[in-house]
Amino acid sequence: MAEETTPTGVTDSAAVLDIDEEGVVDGATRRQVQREQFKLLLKSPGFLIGFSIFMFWVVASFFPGWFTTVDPKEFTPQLDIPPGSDAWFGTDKLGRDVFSRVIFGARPIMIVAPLAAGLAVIAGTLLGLAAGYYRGWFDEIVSRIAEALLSTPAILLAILIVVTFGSTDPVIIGTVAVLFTPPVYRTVRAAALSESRLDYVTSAKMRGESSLFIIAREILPNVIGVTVVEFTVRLGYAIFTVATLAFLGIKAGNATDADWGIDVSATWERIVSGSWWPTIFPALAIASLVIAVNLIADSIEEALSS
Amino acid sequence: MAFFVRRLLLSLITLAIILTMITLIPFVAPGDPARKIAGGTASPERLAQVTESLGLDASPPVQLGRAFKSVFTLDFGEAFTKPGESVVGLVSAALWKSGKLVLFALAVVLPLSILGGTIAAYKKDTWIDRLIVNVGLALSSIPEFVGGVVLLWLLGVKFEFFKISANAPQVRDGAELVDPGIITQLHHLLLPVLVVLFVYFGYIARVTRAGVINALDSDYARTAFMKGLPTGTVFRKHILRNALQPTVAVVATQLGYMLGGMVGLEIVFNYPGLGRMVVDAAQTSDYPLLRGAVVVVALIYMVATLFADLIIAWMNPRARLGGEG
Repeated sequence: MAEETTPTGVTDSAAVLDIDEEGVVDGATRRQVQREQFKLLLKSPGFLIGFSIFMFWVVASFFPGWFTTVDPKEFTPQLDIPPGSDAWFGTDKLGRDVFSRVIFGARPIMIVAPLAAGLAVIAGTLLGLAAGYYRGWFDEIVSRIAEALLSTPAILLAILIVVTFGSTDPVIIGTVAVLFTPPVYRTVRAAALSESRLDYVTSAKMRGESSLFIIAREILPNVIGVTVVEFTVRLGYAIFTVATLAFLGIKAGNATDADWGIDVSATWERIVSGSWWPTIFPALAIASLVIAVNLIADSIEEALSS
Repeated sequence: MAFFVRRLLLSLITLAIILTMITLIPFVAPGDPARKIAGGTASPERLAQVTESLGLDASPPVQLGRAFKSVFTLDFGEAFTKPGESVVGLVSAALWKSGKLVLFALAVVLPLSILGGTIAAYKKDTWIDRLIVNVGLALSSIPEFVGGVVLLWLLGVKFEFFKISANAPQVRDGAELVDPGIITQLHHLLLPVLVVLFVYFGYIARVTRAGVINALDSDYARTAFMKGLPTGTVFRKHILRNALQPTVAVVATQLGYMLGGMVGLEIVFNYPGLGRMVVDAAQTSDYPLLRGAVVVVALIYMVATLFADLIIAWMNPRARLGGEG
């Protein structure tokens, strides 16, 4: 998918800041604004649809047994039967139940992608706050490195790094986290930068507050909306990237465990000979998950800027 | 001019950083890349030979020096898995293939997405606006390989018309094999281009929509409408020129991704572009090829964004004067 560099991202965060400006310093007003925004979010159809789909996959990844009693790894003599009453989504060429594999396949990606996105948001927020507040050489250096990482498609760098360090889950989580830190950093830095110029920061400085206090207690609460949006957006990209790595055969995983990306990669060449179900169902599962996360991200962004 | 120089300088710094990272990765990685390539049972002589040909016998600073030199001389050595073939040759062949796909894709995607975004802006907050924005958003969040296999199944298998391989087979011309005519090639590229349309329609339409809404709101647009100019003229002469600046910027920043990042797409449609070359190189530990390809993609990105800035400066003199680079 299209990778960041949205000019709109800048205007959006500016819109978020407008609201915060009204609620400057006054924590009670800010909380009230946040409550209003939350109510608005719960009324948005996009959010409700996205959240329902997302929660379905969360539940499936924790309790796959609630949805199916069939073992996703079990070979049966029913090879390659099309979807029907015996097997809702059919069976693959080894006789394994596709529905069960789709349900069980949620877990690997639901562990790796949120961890990667979470780490990226934490790192990007800390660096962004520091750079936006202190500016100077620290800002210069981190910004140049971030720009360099953004100048090459994340997927290419991911392939390069994962292949060098070995395709294990920790390496994939770390790689995706590192590659997604720059966009988070850039957004948070821009927000922190414009917050630092506001009166409440100046007055905190004059009160003699420490820099750490100002960053953590004054600026951070005002950029938290931006980081929430960033987390959901990054989560979408993380699912995208991890699934793609799995499809390319670069993500580790033994061939028998259910994994959407690996399953698509193992079966797609047989679409041409008519056996579409072992590929299309896990592919649609990936699609439903990324669309759900993007709907959530989009609704949060809209609620925050209204 | 100062703007341009500053911009160029920043690009060079960026390139230097990316080059440094790519060159130093083998040093921080566990395991010996030479051993990976030579194989676990290779003799010490063979290992030494591989180490030397990879340039890994030199110290990090020396290697870094070589890496920088390789960019200026455009010589990345020989591919490891294809002895005798230069990395530059292989990368340019793949780039040519990817370039064809991207050009054709842009020719289809740009007009449709700009039109979609303009309609959405003009019909702001109606059902048609929501449809364009939401469907576009949903489609553009799907990974290319997912869109690829779904279209392969929906269109490629059922309708003879769509070709399932993006790479048109070569035809015999006298004694040698040559690429078939342009129409045949485009015909084969149709399915992947549809996937690219999925990926970018929502994205470009959204940016265009935001730009057009901004422009429609401006005084000059209002004046133009009040002068009684026809809607089409106002859009062509006044609105799009200003509204499309963010669109130009976005397309430029996406060029590197389009050329080198659509790996899944190239694999599904069996297309020998840059993305697939990178995956193959990665899986065979062909570091010279891998580095060459990544550097080329980064270079393209930089040149494209540089050009985008220039085009925007040309479209909007204000950016030229007050731009922060």
